Amino acid sequence: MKMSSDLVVLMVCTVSFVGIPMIAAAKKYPLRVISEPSGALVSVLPAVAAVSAETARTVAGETPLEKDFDFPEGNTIWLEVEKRGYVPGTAEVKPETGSVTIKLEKAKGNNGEEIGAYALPAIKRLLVVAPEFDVIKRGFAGEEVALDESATAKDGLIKGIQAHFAGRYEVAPIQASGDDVQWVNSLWRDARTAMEMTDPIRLKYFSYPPRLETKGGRKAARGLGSNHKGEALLLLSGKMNRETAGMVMGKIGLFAAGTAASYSSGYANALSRGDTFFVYTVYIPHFSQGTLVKAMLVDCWTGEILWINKGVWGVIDFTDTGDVNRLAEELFSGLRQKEKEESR
Amino acid sequence: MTLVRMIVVLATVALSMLAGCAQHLTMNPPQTLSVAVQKKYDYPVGLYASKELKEYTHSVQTSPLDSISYPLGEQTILLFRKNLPTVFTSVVDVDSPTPGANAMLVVQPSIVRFAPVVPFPAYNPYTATIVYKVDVFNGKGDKVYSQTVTGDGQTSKGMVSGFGAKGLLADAAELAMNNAMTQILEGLAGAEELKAEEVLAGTRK
Repeated sequence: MKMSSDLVVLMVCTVSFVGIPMIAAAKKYPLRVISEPSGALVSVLPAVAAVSAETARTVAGETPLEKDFDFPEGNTIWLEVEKRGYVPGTAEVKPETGSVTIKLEKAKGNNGEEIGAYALPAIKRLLVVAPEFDVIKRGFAGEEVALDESATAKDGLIKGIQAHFAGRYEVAPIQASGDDVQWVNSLWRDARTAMEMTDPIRLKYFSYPPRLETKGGRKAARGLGSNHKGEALLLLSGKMNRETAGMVMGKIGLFAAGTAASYSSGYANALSRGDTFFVYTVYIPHFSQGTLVKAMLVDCWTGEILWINKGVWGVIDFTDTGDVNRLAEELFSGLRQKEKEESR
Repeated sequence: MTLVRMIVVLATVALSMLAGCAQHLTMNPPQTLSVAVQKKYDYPVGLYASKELKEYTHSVQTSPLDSISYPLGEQTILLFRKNLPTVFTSVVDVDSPTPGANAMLVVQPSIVRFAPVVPFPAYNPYTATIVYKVDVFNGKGDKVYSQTVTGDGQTSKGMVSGFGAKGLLADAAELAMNNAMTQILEGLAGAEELKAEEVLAGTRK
């Protein structure tokens, strides 16, 4: 087959425009990572030694660890090993390293005290702060927060939490009203950022226990704990995007029209060419619906952030106990695991 | 044949040039936010914008040929300049984190993270999250207060969103910035560290 000269020009130009992707192939090599003490989290860092809390990491597992690591062609990778109460350790490893042992040094607090292992406090009464949750109805011509449905969702979340923790903790909801307003607002300001910025997986491995950032936030946690006689505060935030029937019908109509147009043009072209078959495109509508929920547990007395999780679900019917219980079961699964570990 | 070849080459060159262009997103002038503050601090503060903040932009690739640049640093400075007077008697621009004669404290904002979502298909929600850090310095240049806040914004115009996508990107960012700024003002207004007597104690050398 001979290529036309125009096609060659087009291809050359396209390549010069798009550029040839230079993808360095990564190869896997086995590596054994040991830390002293063990039980530390191993993360792979970008190819730089200088790291900060903002540096993106890829979690590899807990020590002792033996697995295949991706090494960029001919390059080294950096490992970071973190454990609560210890200064994080880093190591540069090469494909031929095979095994690496990282000794962790004890971390000290501001007054030279040792930092204890990650643990949940003894919780009898769990204070559930009024959730921040919006149901957003997305219509054909715009979107708005549905206040009634948002209130139903918040109510459903509280009931789901009460059902989930029944028999383990006494669950006491706290409303953002009366004397508690200032404290709840202050708490939320710190909580939103902690939920956004704190890595839920690394949290229990951080050298120092993360705490609410501001004095006002910590004071609010203490104040609420004291007033409502609880040991821990549970905060939930999130949103649910739900498309209205009009939006759904509009999309189906639009995509059906797209499919029909594609079919008819394909059919017409086939007829004009005298072909016996033709290709057309079936457009499938995308529904941008779903629920995002973030949760955080805070120690009332120290302001320590004990646990964080976040997850995405489909549209939840917050009046359906089964739906809400399933969400709670999945959202709090890590917390449940931690409770089981501590009760052994 | 030559004409076709020329058209192909010219079209390719034009596309290549377009690909390198980042469109500057136009954002609305910041508004004074409605924040209930029981009592303003009765002293002036300085607003210090670092070089990094002044030059802060965030670019997102919206298609293989387009990218959009958010002028976030510029917008943040305007937002703080407009809204800090809700909490303090007056606000002056300063060029150092240590207050001079015209300010008791200096407020230094910085952008920790900005994460917009440019949806595809275009009728999905346009969202943005911004994380601001605000440091406040006393007369000695010591940091007396620090607060990190997160603001979220979401918007869309339903099925017709794609026709005003740039406006929606700006709207989502502005909603997130306003949400964060509101929290900053509430936090500053309620901070014990900023009460006049604390500030005066810190200012005495």
